[in-house]
Amino acid sequence: MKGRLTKYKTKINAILLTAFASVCTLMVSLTHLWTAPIIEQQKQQDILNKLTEVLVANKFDNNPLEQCTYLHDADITGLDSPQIIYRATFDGKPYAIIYQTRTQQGYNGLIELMVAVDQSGKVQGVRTLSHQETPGLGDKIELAKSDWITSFDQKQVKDAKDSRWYVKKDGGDFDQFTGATITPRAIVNQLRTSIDTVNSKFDQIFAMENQCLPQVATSNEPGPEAQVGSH
Amino acid sequence: MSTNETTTASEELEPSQNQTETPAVDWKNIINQGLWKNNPALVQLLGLCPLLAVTNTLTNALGLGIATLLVLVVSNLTVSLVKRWVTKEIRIPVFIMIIASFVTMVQLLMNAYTYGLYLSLGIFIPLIVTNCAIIGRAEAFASKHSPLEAAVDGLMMGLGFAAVLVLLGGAREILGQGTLFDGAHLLLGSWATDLKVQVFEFEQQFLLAILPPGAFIGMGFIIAAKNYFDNKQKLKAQANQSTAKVERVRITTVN
Repeated sequence: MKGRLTKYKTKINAILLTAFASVCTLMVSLTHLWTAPIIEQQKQQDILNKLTEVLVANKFDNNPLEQCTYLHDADITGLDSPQIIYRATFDGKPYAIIYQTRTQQGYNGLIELMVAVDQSGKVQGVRTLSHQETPGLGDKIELAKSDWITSFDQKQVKDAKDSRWYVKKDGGDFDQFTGATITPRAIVNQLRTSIDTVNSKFDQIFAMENQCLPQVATSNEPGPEAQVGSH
Repeated sequence: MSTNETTTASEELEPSQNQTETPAVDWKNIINQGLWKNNPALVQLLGLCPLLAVTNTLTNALGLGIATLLVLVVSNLTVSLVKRWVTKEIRIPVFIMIIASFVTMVQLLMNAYTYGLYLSLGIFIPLIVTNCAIIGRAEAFASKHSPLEAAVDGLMMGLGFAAVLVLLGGAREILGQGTLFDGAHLLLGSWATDLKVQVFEFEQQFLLAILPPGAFIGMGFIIAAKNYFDNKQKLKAQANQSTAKVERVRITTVN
């Protein structure tokens, strides 16, 4: 009799748990379905914001998000796997390559940067995307904390050993921070080598085929889609 | 957890005492418990991990405070609504499932509508699930009270928690960076960029306030302040009591 009762109770509990699990899963799934397009839109917007920040506003007229390619080059991206690279054009002509690069040479963990270089090799802009450098010392690489990161604007890299592309302590042109040399040094060194590689492969990268079109078709760009609809 | 158990024990006593006098709900007690007497951050010391980790700016603190508050209210309400069907054996897994679902929903919503804040709070949004304050309230209060009481309790506990977060976040941001509401646009939209106040400026940031040890020290000061006020009140009450006794004695002698 007692065994039967516990068996019955276990059954009830199992059914209850399943019911609760199903309802919870359903609610989470619904929220996911509802928010997924908005999240995707936010991500795209975030990338676009960062792209437009490193580019000079009136020098390009395409949406770089729709002009991308996957590049496998550890010298440029700092990663030994295909990484996305964006291309900005003006009137259909090449203007700049925007790429993300990373370095482990900082004081603490990975520093991720976004860089735009134009056809003549001039830096259009650099921004720090993420880092874990010491707050108050190494975090001056953020634009919000200091305008140090803009000191690269309009500079050119002559070759992989360009003597100006070092921090002042190493005999170059770029300031280090008081109390923090390792962070700026990591960034300057990474920029020097990656920009030099981009310069030597600029036309080659622009000749690569566009791999972003399918993404655009499903993306949230209301502009082009609306136009297509009206035609 | 030991603090949690003792507080729940004392709580169980108080409502039952009140119930013998008046069957009506003691709203004042619920409010007082959440905001002050049994504050999840200051007295129960629950949810310390997110509390200490994200209070480096006022915006972050406010963001996590609101997220926790939302989860607390909704999970308390739901737990109280379903308590009739939940058997004793499976109540903990069910509570955790409810809380985890709501946290995931809040996380998705924050990802969709406050993207920047979502990035800056990072892992601490999903970690709300592990905030003992929430499962603690579900188990100790919501599963024993009516939905309305549970929701109000969640609101008050959440407010109490958020208040400590905001206090600590504000203090650390002022001491560390000399600003208030830095990055408020991440939470409130672009109009809030103007909310940022530069309280004062200094060459070098006060690192101790920004780094985690600063959170511990700040937290210590807040708890100390609370204990100071509580003690003062206790002394006052004792003084009142003793004067009352004296009066009574005098009355009897007169008679």
